[in-house]
Amino acid sequence: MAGYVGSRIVNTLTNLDGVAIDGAAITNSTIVPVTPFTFRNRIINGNLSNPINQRGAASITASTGYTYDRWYYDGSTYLYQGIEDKNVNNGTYVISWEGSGINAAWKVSTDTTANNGPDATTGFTSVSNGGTFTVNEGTEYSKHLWIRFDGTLSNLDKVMVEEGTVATPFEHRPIGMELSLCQRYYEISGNQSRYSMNASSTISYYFTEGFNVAKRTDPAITVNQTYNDNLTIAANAASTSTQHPGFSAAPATADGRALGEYEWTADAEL
Amino acid sequence: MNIESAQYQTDEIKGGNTGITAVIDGVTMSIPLDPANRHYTEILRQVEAGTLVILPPDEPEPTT
Repeated sequence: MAGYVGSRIVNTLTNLDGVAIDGAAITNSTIVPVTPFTFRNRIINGNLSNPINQRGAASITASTGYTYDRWYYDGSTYLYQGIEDKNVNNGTYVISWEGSGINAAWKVSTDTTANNGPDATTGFTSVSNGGTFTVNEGTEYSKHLWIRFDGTLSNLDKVMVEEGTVATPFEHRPIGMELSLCQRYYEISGNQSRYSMNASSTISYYFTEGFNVAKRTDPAITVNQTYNDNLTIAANAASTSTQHPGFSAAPATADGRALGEYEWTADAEL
Repeated sequence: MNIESAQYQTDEIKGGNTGITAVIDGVTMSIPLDPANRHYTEILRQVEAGTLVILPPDEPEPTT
């Protein structure tokens, strides 16, 4: 019986060779999708019931600015996510989400460079849950795609923006992979880094650490020094790149022991 | 963004201004001179609007 069923499946696939179906075609007994089966979701951190939250925000609307990773709240009404220009090819996209009382809209940037959060609050076009929109830029991969939500934002969950015309089930990527995707835009050291030296003078020293994930662009760096024994740690833009944050260590005196403990953040958000 | 202050950083290897130290929303940040960085573009926007002045750098300290 099992062999019979298997034979029927093979025969069916063979018989379907060359037949196109919605979203895929079968060629040489191989299913060829019109859009990818994996990495469909252009939204990062869309699983808002179990979000990546490196900033430790109390909620997605806890404060103005970036709260949960990749999500920007304007402090009153709107929640945004910008999809980086390099991930925005021309084509038709479908948006979907879970949660009632939510409205959505989309736009492409008016600028080709980074913006202070959403580049402008105007120019958005409404789109319904399961609805489609088309991106058609003269220069492909040159402008960010902004998605905006309003309404009962605490209900918003399982947000998807994918190529195609039919919304598919939410794509649960491995949590470690989702964190890596977030860290292209923001990363926190999350531990107490230390730098120590024998200070024979008050001359400053330079040093770097490494990012877990290379950043979208040169990031802004903050330093929170948690311990200072004759050594002040500060971020240094000249030695910071997309690959690593750079720091300076400045002894206050030439008294020998100098030790600093610190944490850092790197922000390369849109 | 509430940019409370901004001052250029210099570097003895690269020479000239290489970044900006700014206090933004109460947090001190090191900002690259990168037009793709959102903090830098906001600093430039506020400078152009006449609401922010970037201070010249301090005299560079010797480093190793």
